[in-house]
Amino acid sequence: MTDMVYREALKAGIREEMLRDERVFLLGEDIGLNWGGAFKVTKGLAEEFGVERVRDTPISENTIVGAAVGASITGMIPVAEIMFGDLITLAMDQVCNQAAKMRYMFGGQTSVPLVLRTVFGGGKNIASHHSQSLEAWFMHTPGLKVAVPAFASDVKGLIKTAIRDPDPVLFAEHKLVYDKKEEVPDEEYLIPFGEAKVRREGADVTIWGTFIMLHKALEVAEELQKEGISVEVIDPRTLVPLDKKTLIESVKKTGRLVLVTEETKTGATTAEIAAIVQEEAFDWLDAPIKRVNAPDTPVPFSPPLENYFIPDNKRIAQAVRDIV
Amino acid sequence: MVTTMIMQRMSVAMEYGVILKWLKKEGDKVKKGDLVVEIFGEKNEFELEAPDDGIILKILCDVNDEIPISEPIAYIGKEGDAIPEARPKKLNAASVAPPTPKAAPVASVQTSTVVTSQASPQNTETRLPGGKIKASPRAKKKAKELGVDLSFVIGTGPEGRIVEKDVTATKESTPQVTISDDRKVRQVETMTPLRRTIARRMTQSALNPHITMITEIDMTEAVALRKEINLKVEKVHGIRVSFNDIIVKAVADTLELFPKFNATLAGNDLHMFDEVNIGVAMATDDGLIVVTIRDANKKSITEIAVETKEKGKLAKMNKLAPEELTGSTFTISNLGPFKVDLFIPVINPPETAILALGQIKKKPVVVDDVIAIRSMMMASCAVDHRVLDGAPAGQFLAALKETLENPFMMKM
Repeated sequence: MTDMVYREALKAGIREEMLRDERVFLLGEDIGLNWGGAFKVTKGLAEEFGVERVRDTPISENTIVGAAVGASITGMIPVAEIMFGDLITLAMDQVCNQAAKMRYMFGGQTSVPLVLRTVFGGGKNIASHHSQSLEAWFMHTPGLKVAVPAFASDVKGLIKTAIRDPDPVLFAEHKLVYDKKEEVPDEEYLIPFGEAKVRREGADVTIWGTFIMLHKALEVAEELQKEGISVEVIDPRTLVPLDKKTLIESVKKTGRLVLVTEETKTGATTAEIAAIVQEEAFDWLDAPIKRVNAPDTPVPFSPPLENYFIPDNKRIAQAVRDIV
Repeated sequence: MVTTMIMQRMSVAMEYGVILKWLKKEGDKVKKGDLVVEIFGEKNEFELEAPDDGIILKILCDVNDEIPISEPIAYIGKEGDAIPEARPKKLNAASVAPPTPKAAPVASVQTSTVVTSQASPQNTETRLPGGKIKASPRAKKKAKELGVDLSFVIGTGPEGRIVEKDVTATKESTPQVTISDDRKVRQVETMTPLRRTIARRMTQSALNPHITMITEIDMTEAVALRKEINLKVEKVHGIRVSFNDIIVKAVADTLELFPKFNATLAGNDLHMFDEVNIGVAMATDDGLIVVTIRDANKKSITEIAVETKEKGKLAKMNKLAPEELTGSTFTISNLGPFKVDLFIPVINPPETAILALGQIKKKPVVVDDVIAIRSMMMASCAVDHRVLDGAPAGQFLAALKETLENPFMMKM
């Protein structure tokens, strides 16, 4: 085990796969020599593997994804990076109409083993075009897998699974978890998609969430323990495929569910999860399902407004207290 | 710095305080020691003082709210101070009394419809509009598994919702009955709906504190009165007036003077009724039912007798309409015909009092320092101690005794 920040664990996973399989290559804006990406995930990889396998691209998201789709159907394994998740809109046709549908529309004659890495979330005061949480769009698109790792030990195992997956994976990261440290196994390991992780066991309330909200939820759980409220915290790790079983079992145990993500509330992943739970575990609910999300507005630039916009520990704790 | 003003314990046994009146309003300046609010704690009124100088930033509870000891009631600070988020638990926010179950059609015991709607505020928290019980799906599932009737369960969840632990608590507080294997069961009889209604309502009533007053009433004059009435009534109506009919009349007349005995407690409000509707408890094969003699204070003994006989006959055939079984405001239960001397009754909820009568028996009693043979009857009156104390209960019973011992004074 080595203590490692998320960013380093992610890079280690990519590096292992590049060493293992020479078809794996990276492309994206400013990911290469000297710079290593806006969030430094790929720093040093161009130096190690050369600019053929770690390719800087023009500022054209549509081109990045289009090229990656093309490369993947010819047998390469591209790991493309979109610098900010918000800018994936420029490549939506490639992502949702091409990559997601090719296997189906070509009757299984081709697959698209592409990994599309990008980063969501606010908290950096970089305004509405660089701070959104848009994972629900991709969860809603059949044909895509969606990974949402929030912890260093998960991101390494999940990126390796994503790279080996024969289908397109939207691999979502979060700006504020890059620096989160955790013990990461030294030996090689893969984490299967569709397996949630119970980050904390509890008896009274289940919190399900993603990214930085999980880190907050764990702090809240610790705080509420002192009030005698026992909180279970579940990290889905992938949204597609979704581990319903772990969640439903937890809800059957606790009878209460709080869903916490940084997304704007309407149509967020939390809405889907709430619907699933009431369909499959209605009789076990002891309270209405609570959602803690951002308000339905663009992410504000103003730091005080952004602070207000992003759910904080207080709001999460209040949601729990409201239903206990 | 924001100072939290709390509900203070003003006497040893005080568990919560009721807000009577705010002497200051939000935005008012106060000095430490200024009187801010009047409360009622346990048995007395108190005034709570401002714990600090400042302005009243926020008042957290309204008049009539019941606030447990140490809960915040107001925040005092400087203009612009952030108001803390903590809010008091309010005992009146969740129903503290078990909800009044809806009577089954055969049930005898419900107030008139008008009154029921007045009584409903007590239950708004645990009831959804239309009377549906507010319980979580999990609580409903648990109740089904454990065989718990949700109308018995007091909701302690947010907004008074019944949650799982309320169901388990109710189950645990009910004695568990299991039939051990070494006893042979001859027959299993499932309770009829009427029986279950009786069970539920009596359990509910027994949760309320009862006190019972007992006296002995000299019925010698009433025996004479009955004889005299029956000379005529038997010829005209073909029935005989019973002692019970005379007692119904006497009770109805007495109730005119004691409105709190002819009432229903709904939440914190005592509703005293205009009508005096006497419920007469009757035994049927299926169990106890109560037929209602409406406006008994305005009817003659004979009218009461005719009506009671008719309704009793229909009741035993199960042919009484629901409205004839409901709407009583006071109940009389007479076990004299079964040779019972005296018994202690359970109030027919949501009424506030009940009268129980034993048999009339000739006994030697002292009258004017001489031993005489008189027709004596034991009577007991149970009252809901939340509403009524021993003294008024004694006064009521004494007034009734006075009336029955001088029955010719009654308005016939």
